[in-house]
Amino acid sequence: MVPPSGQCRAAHGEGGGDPSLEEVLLDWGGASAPAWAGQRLPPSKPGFGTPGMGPKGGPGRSSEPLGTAVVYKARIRSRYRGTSVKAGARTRENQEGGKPVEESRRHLPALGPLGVPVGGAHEEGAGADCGQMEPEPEPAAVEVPPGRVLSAPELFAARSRSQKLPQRSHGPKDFLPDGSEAQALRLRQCREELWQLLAEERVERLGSLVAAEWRPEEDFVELKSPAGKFWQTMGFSEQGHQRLHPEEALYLLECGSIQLFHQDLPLSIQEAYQLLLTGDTVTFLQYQVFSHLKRLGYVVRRFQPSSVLSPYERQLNLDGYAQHLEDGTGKRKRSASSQSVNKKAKALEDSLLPISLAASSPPASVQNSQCSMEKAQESKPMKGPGVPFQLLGSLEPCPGLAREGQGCGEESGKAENGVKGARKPRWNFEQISFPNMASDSPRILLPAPAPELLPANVAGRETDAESWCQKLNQRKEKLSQREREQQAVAQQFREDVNADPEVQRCSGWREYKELLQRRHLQKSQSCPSHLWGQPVTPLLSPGQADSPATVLQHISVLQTTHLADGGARLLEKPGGLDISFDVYQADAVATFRKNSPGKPYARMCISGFDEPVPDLCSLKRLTFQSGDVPLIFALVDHGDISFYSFRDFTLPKDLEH
Amino acid sequence: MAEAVFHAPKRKRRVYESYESPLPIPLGQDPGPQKEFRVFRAEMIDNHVLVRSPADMEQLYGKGYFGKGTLSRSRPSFSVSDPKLAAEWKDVKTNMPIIPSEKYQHRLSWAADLLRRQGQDENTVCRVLEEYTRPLEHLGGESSAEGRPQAGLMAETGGLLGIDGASGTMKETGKPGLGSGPGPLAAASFGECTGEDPAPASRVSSCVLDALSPQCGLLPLDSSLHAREREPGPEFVLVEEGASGGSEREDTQAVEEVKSIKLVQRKRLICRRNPYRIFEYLQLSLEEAFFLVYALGCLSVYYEKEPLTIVKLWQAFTAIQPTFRTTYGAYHYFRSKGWVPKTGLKYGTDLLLYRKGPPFYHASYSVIVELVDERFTGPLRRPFTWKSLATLSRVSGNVSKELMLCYLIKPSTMTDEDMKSPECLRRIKVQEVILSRWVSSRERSDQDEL
Repeated sequence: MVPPSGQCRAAHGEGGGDPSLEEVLLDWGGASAPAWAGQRLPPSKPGFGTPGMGPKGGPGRSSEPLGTAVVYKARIRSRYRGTSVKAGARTRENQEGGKPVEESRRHLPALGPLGVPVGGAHEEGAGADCGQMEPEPEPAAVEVPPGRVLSAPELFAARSRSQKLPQRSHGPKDFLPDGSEAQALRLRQCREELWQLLAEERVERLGSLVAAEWRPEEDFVELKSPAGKFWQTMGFSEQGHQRLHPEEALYLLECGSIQLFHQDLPLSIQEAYQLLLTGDTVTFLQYQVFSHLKRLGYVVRRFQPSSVLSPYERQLNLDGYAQHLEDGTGKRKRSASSQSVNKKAKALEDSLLPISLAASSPPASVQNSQCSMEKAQESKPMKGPGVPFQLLGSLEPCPGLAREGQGCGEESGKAENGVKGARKPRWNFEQISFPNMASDSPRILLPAPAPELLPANVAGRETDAESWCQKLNQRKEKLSQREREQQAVAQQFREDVNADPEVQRCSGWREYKELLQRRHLQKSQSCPSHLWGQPVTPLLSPGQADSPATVLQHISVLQTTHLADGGARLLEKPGGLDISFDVYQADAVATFRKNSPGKPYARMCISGFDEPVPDLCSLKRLTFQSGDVPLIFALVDHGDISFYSFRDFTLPKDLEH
Repeated sequence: MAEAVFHAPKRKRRVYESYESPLPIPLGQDPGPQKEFRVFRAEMIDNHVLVRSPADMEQLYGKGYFGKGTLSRSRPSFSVSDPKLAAEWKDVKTNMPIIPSEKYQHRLSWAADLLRRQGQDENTVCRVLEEYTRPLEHLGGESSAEGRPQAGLMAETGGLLGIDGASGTMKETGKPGLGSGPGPLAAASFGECTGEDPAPASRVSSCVLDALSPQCGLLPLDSSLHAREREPGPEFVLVEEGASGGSEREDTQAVEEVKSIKLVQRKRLICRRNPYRIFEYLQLSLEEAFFLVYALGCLSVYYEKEPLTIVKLWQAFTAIQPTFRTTYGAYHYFRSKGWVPKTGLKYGTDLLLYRKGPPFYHASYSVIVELVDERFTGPLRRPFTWKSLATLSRVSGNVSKELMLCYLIKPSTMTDEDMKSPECLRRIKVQEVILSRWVSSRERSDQDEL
């Protein structure tokens, strides 16, 4: 069974997440309940239990003893044009005093003339026949107050009524009002079904309901009787009490797992929506995402900034320790302390930052040393286990080795003075003599190394390397047939450097290098001067193109960064989106422990579909905050939720052609 | 891992070409004789960069997949020759295009129009065209033995085309095992066909050449360029005509042979001058052109015969396309990672990234490029709403591409003055972000996705 979704839209009021349903829009032929309305009902239907959801099992419904069931009423017609209807809360409000009470009697008659509100901003048909809406027939048991104990016949009736959701479709979808009688009829039909569905009583066994009290001043719900199975994944303990966050309480209320009281009076679902989702705890959007994910079986917990390990902590394997810390702070979470916890976490991260810089952990190290970043870049893709880096096979298995001699010096020169790209060889090879260790050299006496090349505490001395040479494998390389053929082919075209008479005339490396220089000059003279004779020359000179790898190395001038880089700086800036929930996979429910939840599967940011897309700045801030857990943006569009993730990426270098 | 996973690019099911080289420059590691580093030539025409020389076009497109043919979808593959006819006459080893006579008539009329527009009176037009397009055959009556020496003679005079084609074909047919057809015969007949080409060519009055050459192709060109660089193809065409009358009946035996083999009744190829030539050029995007110039140094872009310097090009391209610096930064970045970026116009994005090249792999990424400042904000080229982003993500997903947002981050110290030189690229950092849709219900069963 699938909850009807999407096709009907419920536009809720603007007033700070007021959950009351002020406007109901129906698309033609759609489901007969708005998405969120569907969300409320299905959990009470059998077969809807998803792992982790079920505080209440499916079986045993009909075998419940008479007289112990209570009725929960989903009230929808709370406020139309300011007429507030709170049937169930009537008495309470009387006690409170001050709030309008007399409307509660009025709500049904008032609906007729007012009809479905003409939502100015809304398109699609709703306005079509607003005016001619007839007063709706009053569903039978609207006036039953929540928490009432049913009589035997009522219970029997409740148990034996149809469990089927009404038909979803009333023909093809209409997009424009055509003023026809048939359309109006269909619209009315849809609407009636919606009301009916929303008004359905939820009958639960009193014994299986956990009593809980809403404490508005502290923004949590305190359990009055021992918690049910849901306690494994929901709620928190504080000061020896079991408590629920408002979104959890509301969800459990909708599931029929708790009975919620406020000032000793039971709350209807509608009232709970109104009371629990107002204020600055959880917005309606957040609750929609929360309940959506919960119904799919995910474990959803509030995001606690303090639970995120800093890169440095992660590097040091501080998981366990941080977990321990979190247990301490996490317990007295909620309420006013949340802000301070947040600050504390920031302070912790900030204090750790200098250290993590020194440790050159990838995210933080960038600003300072480009060189180390380059390394990190190269090695980073390799690290990811199980990542199919096919292309990377040829990606310079060892960066140090791939660059030889001059190339190396050049590289470092580039990194050091970034912009200018000056080439400063690190070693002066004219002064460093390399011994000939080849087999053709009869006597190998290695002179003492120049002291300036050695660290202060190391003494160099002369050696005879002959004994070493004997140990070296100096046999000729054995080649396969194919390799030999390849070599032969290459040999056809390649000239032995030593065969060159000019080279032969050189008496030393210096002369040979000069020769090369001369030749290079000659060659580059053929290079057009409008390219090479200018302040800005091409990145690649004709002689430098040995292999695709070296070419790419020469022309790689733009640097890569990562989303988490420099995120700490951005954390100080307030505002914008925030991470709301940690989400754990549904199949982890069995082993899930609130005390040590482990790494979340993802973290959720919740935003309206009309709100702006986060810019790079917010992306970086949130990604940094999220640490190594993927960040997902949940977008709520009138009850429809879609999820998008922005993830850091570095395109691998492709050399294997 | 919070990082997006790299998905291996999808190989195309059928690959019709072989991979030559990643870039149009000679690589030291290549086997074979060291090739010379060659600087290609392109021209700025009306804010577009065009490469005209067929050899350059082939190199630039074939090695690295730069540019697109002006008359083709991607690889410049337009040919005058009618593919069906070419297949029919494939035994006639020629590299001259073969066209049906209707097409030839079209060309004639276009040429006539052109001449008329140039103010020639009807008589002159007729006379010129008649002269110009006379079937180049009257010399062909001689035996094939004479045809060849003549061709050789013409070769000495040089500069004239067709000779190359003829001798090339001779060589080809001479090779053993090439084609089961009557090689020598075809060669002989071909020799006749082509042998006479140059003669009328040399006879054609210069005024006609002058009149006709400007209209060669789509752009005004100096004819000398063509004479030097163009293949012989478009200058002469073989027109398939129904054999008319008996005048050509006494054609050499060889042609008869061919005809009988081909079973093409009373159809024959007649070599004529092409009165209206159409050329295809390689058009480089500004990013491609600049990359070839700045990164590889293998292209000179000329503007009115003057080669442009790198800085000049940078400024000129920025003037032509205000966001050039941004898009070029991204282009350069992806090229320097060994990928082949092409325009993402068809998918509503800035770039598509191919592995190796479009013939081999499907594009893996569809890229949007933005330039931001140090504070990661800035006037975006393309401000997104969730709706537009969702649309784009859906489109990219449906064509199996991942949507990538590529942010170029310029340091706060970079001034506009710095931006006037491509050297500013060295200070720009690149942030790649993959946008993907997460399906809450599917991910439950499909856990390896995240």
